[in-house]
Amino acid sequence: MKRLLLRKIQFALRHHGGTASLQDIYAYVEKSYYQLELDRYKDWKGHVNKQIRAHSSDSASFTGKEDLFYSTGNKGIWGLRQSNT
Amino acid sequence: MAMSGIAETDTTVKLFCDFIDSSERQGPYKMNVIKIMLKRGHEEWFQPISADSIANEYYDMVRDQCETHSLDGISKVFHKPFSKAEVENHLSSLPFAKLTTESPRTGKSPFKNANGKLIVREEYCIPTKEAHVAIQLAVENKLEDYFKMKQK
Repeated sequence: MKRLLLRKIQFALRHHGGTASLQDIYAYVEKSYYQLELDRYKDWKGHVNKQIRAHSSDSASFTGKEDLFYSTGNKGIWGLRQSNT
Repeated sequence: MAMSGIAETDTTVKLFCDFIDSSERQGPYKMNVIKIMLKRGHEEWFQPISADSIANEYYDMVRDQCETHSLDGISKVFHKPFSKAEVENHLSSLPFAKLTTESPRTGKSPFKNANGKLIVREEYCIPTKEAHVAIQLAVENKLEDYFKMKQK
């Protein structure tokens, strides 16, 4: 399900032209709230935020695996990294 | 690596199209439901759909196909004046139920039923023009095959 959530965040950013605020990302992801099993989380927005940070080398929480997102420098605005392929 | 999530969608779209291609031809019902879903555009096509919300459009679509392609064996629901309750029953018992059935060729269906609504499984919810076009093409091909078969 984590994989699907990451993909949904990617689609959200793509939908907004490559960069979006957390609020816009939440609104997009929320459309699939039950499908993504976000009801399992007490704070689902926190979970989404955590996943973005875990997959961005611009964040201190980066896990070092997949670098999917970047910080635009504006608070709460994230961007989608371009594919290397 | 950076776009792995989105890059994987090509395979998923192919699986979805294979499911359409391998579905049994018992009428235009299932394809019409997907066709109506696709009309919502590439950003929204996969959103849940209820029998209640598509009954009118679906009835007109089947009636139109019956007349254009002289189809036989079409449910009696479409040979009488529109009854929303009957069309909703038909939708729930035929296309909605069949679309959620596992395919012998592709396995688990991309659809599921929840609270009477037809839902596309999250892994197949792909909001891209490419996915929309590919699925639309698969549906049109399937319908065309069906109409050709009926004309023989």
